[in-house]
Amino acid sequence: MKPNRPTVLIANRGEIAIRIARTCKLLGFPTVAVYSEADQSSEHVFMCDQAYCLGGILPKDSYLNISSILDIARKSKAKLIHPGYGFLSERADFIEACQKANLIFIGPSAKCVALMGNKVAARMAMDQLNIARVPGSHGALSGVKEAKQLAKEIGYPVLLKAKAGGGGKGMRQVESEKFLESSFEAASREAEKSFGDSDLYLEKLILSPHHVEVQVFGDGKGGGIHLGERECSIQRRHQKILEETPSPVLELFPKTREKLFEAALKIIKNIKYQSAGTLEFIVDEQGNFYFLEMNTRLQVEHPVTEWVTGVDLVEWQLLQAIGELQLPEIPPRTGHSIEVRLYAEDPESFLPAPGSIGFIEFASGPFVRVDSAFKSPTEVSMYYDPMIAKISVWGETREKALARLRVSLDEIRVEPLKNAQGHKIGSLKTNLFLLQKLVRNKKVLKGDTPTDLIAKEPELKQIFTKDVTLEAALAVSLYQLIEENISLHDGTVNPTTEFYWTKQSKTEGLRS
Amino acid sequence: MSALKGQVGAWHFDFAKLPIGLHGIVQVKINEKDQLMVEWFKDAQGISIKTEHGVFSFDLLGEVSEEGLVQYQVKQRGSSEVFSSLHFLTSGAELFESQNTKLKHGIKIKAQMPGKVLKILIKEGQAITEGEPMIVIEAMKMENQVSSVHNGKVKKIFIEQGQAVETGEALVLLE
Repeated sequence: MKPNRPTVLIANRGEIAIRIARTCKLLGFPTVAVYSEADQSSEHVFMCDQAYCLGGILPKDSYLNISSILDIARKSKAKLIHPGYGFLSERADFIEACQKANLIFIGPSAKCVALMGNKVAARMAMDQLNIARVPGSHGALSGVKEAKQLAKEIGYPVLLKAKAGGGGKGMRQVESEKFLESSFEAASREAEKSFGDSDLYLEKLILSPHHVEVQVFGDGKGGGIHLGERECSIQRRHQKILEETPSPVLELFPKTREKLFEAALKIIKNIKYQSAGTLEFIVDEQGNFYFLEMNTRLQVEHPVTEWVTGVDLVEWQLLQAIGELQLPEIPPRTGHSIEVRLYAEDPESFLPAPGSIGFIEFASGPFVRVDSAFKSPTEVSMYYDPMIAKISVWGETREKALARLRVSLDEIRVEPLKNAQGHKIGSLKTNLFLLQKLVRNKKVLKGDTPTDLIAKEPELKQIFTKDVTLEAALAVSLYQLIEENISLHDGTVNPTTEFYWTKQSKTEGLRS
Repeated sequence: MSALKGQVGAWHFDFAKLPIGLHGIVQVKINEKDQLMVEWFKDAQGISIKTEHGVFSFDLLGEVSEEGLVQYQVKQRGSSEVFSSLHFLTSGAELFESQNTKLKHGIKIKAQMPGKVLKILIKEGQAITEGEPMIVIEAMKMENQVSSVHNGKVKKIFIEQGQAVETGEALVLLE
């Protein structure tokens, strides 16, 4: 460990703040955590050398509060700021504010972030570079009339998207001209409400597309490398839940993969991109690809790239920020890695269902990684992203990685807080069951995973139906009889007594 | 009838004693034939049981159904096995939807498991008192007596002697 490294303020929360703090620690960077009033006892607070309250609960008062973060940086004598993902990670004004305060922002330049953050400007930049993008408008639409004209030219169905958008907000799928006007109005209202900007652009809708992205790392001087691709086609509500590398669809079109890498490098070299970034593309069923957008930050699903390359992306980011990174050649990639996102959400409606966790236990074993901010009974906050954990695995082949993920997901237990009678307290639900079914789904096993997979496979939402086993029947009978007669004895349950039997149960379980 | 006798799905259990406390051992008769020693250990999330086949752990989540019954979602730890809506139905109560479910035209008694109608002990129009046996059904090689839950009248009998019945099939309408 090298002494005298500068202090890093981690302007984020949850698993990503912990993940960044881990690498800071191993490289000898002192760390500063920031937290909202709702996060006083969150795990990321305990991971860092110093911790300061940002004030407030809502993101705008806490993790998006630039002046408060800069105050804390001054107080804690931090020199570097790592934004993580989300919150302030893609805000050019924050990067500029950091520079003014003599702080080093760990990431790309404000200019790159501003360019890629404006979807219309980004599309125009791609046109100049001759990078294929989805056919559609060059810039923002002037109104419904232009939208109609353009849609006629490129053919229905089309997608209307918010210029400042993301996460499916301000987005409408339009099947034919008669729906265009009403969709246009709805999307622009939604965009205005969500982003304060009602401008829309229009794209041809690619049917059954695959979402493939390229991880890049730029030196900020026109040089850079890629670290392979990730396929993130399995989504619900336009948000990813399963990500993997290598991409199954690119296995069918190896030439497309090479072209994607070429395009990605052309883009980052041209804009002199610095640090880690991701170029998102759509790949259709014929192997054609189209530029979608660039994420100018560390991505949620970066662990799968780390698995197959052996590169700690945060280490590169930190070392680059202090001028100690010599960017190597493109690293070789080995084996297959898959990540799933465990969310506190309703597994049928996919709406967030945060609440109290009464018991939590994760998977472990060879080539299993869990990124989570939850260790013990606690609350999944309703104020922030309801992700509980990312579970990623590595295997020599896709088949082995999927098998390992199946075993890992079966090991995971997330139980809601319960009263003494075993009834749930609070509103916690998780998508664990959906993930368990995903890794057993025939299409997923085959690698046939277009973005509409979840919508087209209703069986993913259905519970396994099976005759109840003798053991489950005995367990429920005993449990219920004990509960019904709880007045006859001292009904307090000591949660710490669980350990011995859980362990024994697992050992015995090896036999069956 | 004994509160220690009842069923979960197709499994019939007769516990030799009332299980009490976090930890204990009880003998249970399964489907009226096999005797099994079961050791249990209850914890905050559910219960582990030990039988001659090994140790099995489950997370249980209780929910109160519309009829006021507690039903459990049972997840086997370390697996993706989930069983929904499990409940230990005490014998004597098992053939009624619920003692509180009064339909407009009376109470419809439904079969809670598949079986064969052995005997019909009542006639349509007959007055009946609470606890009086009405029908005997053979299921899993056992005879189950269906008794009335109310004082009243047998309005209609939906089944015949010797007939096979499915779970949920209406047997008798009381008023």
